[in-house]
Amino acid sequence: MLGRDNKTVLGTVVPTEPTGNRVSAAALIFLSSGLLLVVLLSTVLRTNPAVALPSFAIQTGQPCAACHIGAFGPQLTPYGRDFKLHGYVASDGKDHGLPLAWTAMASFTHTLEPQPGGAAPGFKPNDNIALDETSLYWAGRITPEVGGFIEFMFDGVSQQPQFGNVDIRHASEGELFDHDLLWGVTINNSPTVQDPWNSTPVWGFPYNRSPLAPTPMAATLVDGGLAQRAAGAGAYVLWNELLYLESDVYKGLDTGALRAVGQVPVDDGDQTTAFMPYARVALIEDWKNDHLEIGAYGISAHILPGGNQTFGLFNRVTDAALDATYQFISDPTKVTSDRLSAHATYIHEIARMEASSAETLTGMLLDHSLDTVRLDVSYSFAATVTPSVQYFRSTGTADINYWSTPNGSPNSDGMIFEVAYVPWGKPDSPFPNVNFRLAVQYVNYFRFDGSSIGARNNNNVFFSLWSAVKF
Amino acid sequence: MPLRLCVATAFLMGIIVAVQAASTITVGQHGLLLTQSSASIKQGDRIVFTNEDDVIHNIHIFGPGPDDSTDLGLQKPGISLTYRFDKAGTYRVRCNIHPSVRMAVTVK
Repeated sequence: MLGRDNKTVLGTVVPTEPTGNRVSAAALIFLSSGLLLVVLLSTVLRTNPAVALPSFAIQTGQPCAACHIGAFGPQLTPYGRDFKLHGYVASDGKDHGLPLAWTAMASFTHTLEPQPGGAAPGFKPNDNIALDETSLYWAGRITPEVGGFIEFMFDGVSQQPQFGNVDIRHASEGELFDHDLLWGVTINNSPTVQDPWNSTPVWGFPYNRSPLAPTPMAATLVDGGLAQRAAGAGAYVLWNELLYLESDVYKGLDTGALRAVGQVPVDDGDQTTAFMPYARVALIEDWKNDHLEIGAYGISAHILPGGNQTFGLFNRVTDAALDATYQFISDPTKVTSDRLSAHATYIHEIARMEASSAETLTGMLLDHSLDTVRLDVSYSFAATVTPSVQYFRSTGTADINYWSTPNGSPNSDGMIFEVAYVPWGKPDSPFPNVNFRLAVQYVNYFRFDGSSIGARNNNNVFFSLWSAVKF
Repeated sequence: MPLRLCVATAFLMGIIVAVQAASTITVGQHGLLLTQSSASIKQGDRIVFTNEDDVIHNIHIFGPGPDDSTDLGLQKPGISLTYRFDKAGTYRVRCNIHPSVRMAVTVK
């Protein structure tokens, strides 16, 4: 459970529980790197090492709209999911050079009420223009059988360079019980970054939001709590294009590794103490015009709040979630056809707060829960104009000794309305290497951090310009 | 009928029968899928792959031997590619760009 006093960062320390695994994060990174190296070498030695390494769109010769609803990431079409599950290696066979892409996002944020002291260090209380982030991606086929993406980003608000999302995978095909079997392995740095559906946290709606507007403090662990602060490896299978199964193991990065990847702050953040198992299951069905996915996912972790090992105790946090995706494609033969998509996710978190309770000595409740619900629908007109709406809600155990909200309640809910415009990324676009997304988003809170009084003060309008160039 | 005329007629009929024996079927690339997932044909038959989508496709044929493969190259929207299956065996047809575009072909 994250959010107390805005300490939403996680890292790793030397295990303190008696049965803890003593393999350090550095060792895990080393092992992961070794695994990747083995995969790379085993593939390279069987093939020509001087293969082309283009970025996704150039590599496949496909317009953005082939993979992305609305012609701009990250919402995936059935083909986009296929491309990802097959290891990002599908190609038109041409040599396109290094697979480099660059993105940048600039924005204007207006909140209903100014934020005293400034929206962030160096920013005004209201009406801020910002370069939210700019990223350089290595994205595409690494060898004929290994592909992925690595994001190097600069956070324009915190003025901090850092690693962004990483997902590198190898996939292969076979048969099981006379039906197709796709299997693969992934190395990544954020639970659900490897997921092909947009109903899980990392790639869920909203696809971008203001870094300068207030957000509720309560969030579950799987909902971004480990993003870029853990390293994991896993395996997945897709059987008969019906059943998807995945299992991963994550390890929080230690302080040195967090500094190395640009994650700050590192000193007073929550830290994990052991390997964290992650599991995913999904049932999918594709009809001519429709795609349906119903699934579940979950993760379990031991967390030291603030990295404090004084009491030798930890908080035991478990997230169990359900999700669903539905997509309707009006004409599957045209990537610019109208597309409806809907996503739902429900995350239930339970936490045994032994460490926090011992640390505070203020009568904090031992058992906490936090539930998050998100429902969103979007309709993409000709892969150009995409209005979306989302309802979100987080409710949990009220505890004045844990949540630093006026009444001790973590409850928040509200709606997000957005309209995005993407002029290019279609088969007839004049610049196949360039695309941009112009969006206006309005966030409306019914409750904010436990209270409906003054919740609307956090409402905000967010204009964003997101551009992408594929070298 | 003179003997020579009979032989010539029989020869021509044989050619006509032989030509008709080799047939052609058409498979569409439609909605990033092939319009049929499998086909059973005879040696010498052809399959015409027609790109009915608005994006570039590819046809890559694997088989019948484990190391046999023929890449017919890229295929723009509206373009057809034809392949004649001369050897008996089992083939797999794939699009290098779209993993879901695939079918099995059995040649007898």
